Amino acid sequence: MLIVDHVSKYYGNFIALENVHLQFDNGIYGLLAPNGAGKTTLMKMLVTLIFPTKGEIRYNGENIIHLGSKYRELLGYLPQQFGYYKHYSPAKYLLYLSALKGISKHEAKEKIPKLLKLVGLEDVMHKKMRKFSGGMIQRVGIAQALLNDPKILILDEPTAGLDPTERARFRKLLTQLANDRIIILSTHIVSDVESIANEIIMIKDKTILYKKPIRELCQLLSGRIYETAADFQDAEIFRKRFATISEKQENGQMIFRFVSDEQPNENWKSVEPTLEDVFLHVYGEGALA
Amino acid sequence: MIKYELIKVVKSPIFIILLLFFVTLNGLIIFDHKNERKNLPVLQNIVEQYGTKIDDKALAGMKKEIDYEMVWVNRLNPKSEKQYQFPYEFIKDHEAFLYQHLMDRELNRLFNLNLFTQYYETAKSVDDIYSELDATEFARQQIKKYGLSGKAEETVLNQANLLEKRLKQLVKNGEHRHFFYLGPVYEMHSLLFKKLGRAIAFEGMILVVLITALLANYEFEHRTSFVAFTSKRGRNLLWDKLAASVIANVFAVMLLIAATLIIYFSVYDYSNLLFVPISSYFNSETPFPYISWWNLSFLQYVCLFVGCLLLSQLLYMLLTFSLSIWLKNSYLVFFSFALFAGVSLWIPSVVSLNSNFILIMHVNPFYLIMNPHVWFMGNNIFTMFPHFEAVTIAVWAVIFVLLGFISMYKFKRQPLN
Repeated sequence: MLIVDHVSKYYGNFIALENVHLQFDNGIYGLLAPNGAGKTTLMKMLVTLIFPTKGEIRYNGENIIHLGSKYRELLGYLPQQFGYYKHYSPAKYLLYLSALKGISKHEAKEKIPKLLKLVGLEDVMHKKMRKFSGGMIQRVGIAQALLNDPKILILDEPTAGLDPTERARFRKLLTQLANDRIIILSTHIVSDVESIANEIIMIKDKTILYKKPIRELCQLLSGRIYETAADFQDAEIFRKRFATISEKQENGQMIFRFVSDEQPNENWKSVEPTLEDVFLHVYGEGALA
Repeated sequence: MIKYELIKVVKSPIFIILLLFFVTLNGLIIFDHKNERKNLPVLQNIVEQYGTKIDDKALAGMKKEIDYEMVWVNRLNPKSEKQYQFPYEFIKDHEAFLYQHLMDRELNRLFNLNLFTQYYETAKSVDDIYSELDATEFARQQIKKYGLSGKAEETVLNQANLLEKRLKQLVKNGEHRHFFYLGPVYEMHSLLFKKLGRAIAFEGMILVVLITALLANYEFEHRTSFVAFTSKRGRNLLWDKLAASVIANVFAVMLLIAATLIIYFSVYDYSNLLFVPISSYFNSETPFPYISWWNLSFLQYVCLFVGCLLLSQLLYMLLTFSLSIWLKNSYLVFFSFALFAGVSLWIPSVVSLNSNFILIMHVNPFYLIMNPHVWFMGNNIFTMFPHFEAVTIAVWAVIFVLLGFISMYKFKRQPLN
């Protein structure tokens, strides 16, 4: 069990995170927040790149900083900006990273082709990464994070650069892995976590706003999400009056999806809230009451 | 892990190119004055025939050889009725005749005989010269030249007393009475230990700073630091980088030194001179001869010289490594290193000349490589201490090792953003 125990992180007078308290058991956790909310700061603390100013992070009761390499050997990490050696092939780079992760050469040589196949890079495993696309590099990053069969897998914006097929494959892979490990996935793309995360963590105003299963999060807006059609000329008035979540054009009219606590009228159609509704509402118009 | 770090150096072609460039440069220095040194084999002939030690037997043999050859010299110009004792007298009187009437082969024989005579004359006068040598007077002249006074002057004069004792011991040992390439004519000591020594020191420094900064900053400059330092090895990877730096730098510097020395000793034959004391009078290039603090043969001196060169490079490596930990950028590291070196060399020039501080300020690893030709010798008043090189290296090794530990300690606790 991984516990973030009342952790704060300050950079001088700047507060990056304040009094964050989280508990992680095996499963997938989606860390959902817009850019700059503090997701990466939290992730960097979880992987010991930076250290809490206050509080501590414990794994099975022990401070992860004191655990040192014993903690890091359980860790798989894909940073937001995954760096690589351009003149290395994926196979060679993973072999190097295996050595860093304390994996024997023999074991690594067995594992690497399998992992590269898993991320769809088996055909280019011996090609230099210099000419790889962003998506291919990201897949190398995913493969390296899985090299040591980590008990804690921390992925910072892992789907950046992946096409829809690759995203779907990646989500499937995470679901398969989630049984016996903690997977923390940071993203600002709701669809990345909507179908796979056991719990969603939302950060707002430098602290944790919610840590709930998707269903519970959606219930926060239950009965308050509506859709209605409005003429183009009335659109501006509508936007001013209601907290619109999304809008689209359909048959020469504007279709608004919005949050309202007012008594619904006959033109309003009550709809089921989605995670995206929650996300857009939280970060678009302020936290839910 | 060290292997993987070493691969990073090997895969950077810049080092191979630089190394080749430096060796070529040193080759050019070696060949530069080769023509002026074409008569060096004269000494080899002397040494083969009479040994390196100057004694009465050797001198008598040489005189006999000169007398024999002078018969031939006196027959060269049929119009000359004067009988010459030594070739330089003949050359002086018949300069125009020589080039008009003698064949190249005869000219060579004459000039070689002249050089042979010069060795003989010098060998004969060695004892007289050393009986008049005064280390204190030498120190006084140098003190006046550099304007030292007060405590600094006092310290230098005390050291001159030590040098005086060493001089007496040297004379007693007969270290000065050995044949070697004529210093004032060929300046072989300066060529090898000053020109080449200084060149190697600076070239090595460039290689060392580049290699060390490359290894230490590699993960930051390739943006792989997040993955590398969160692995099991984590920030301890820096120890591997340090070990790899030591290996790569020692290898690069030794390769540079070895290649340069191989070229040098292939061009200039020292085979019979390896065990000649470095303090031989023949080695001296200035009125005050080189005086090593210990009785060192040429070979021992070369070994100590190489060791000192190598250790000074390891000091630069330690400094570069620490700078890299703090700066995490190779360009900033190069700039800071150059600044540090510049300040280290500049400070002694602005320090008061009347306190010992001026001498202490010369105990720095950058000043050390400015005068490699007087390492382990008492010929420079600012370094006129028997263990100057060892003390400089030891003191700065302690400072840089401490700085390294502090840097490592800091690195293990610093946020990596």
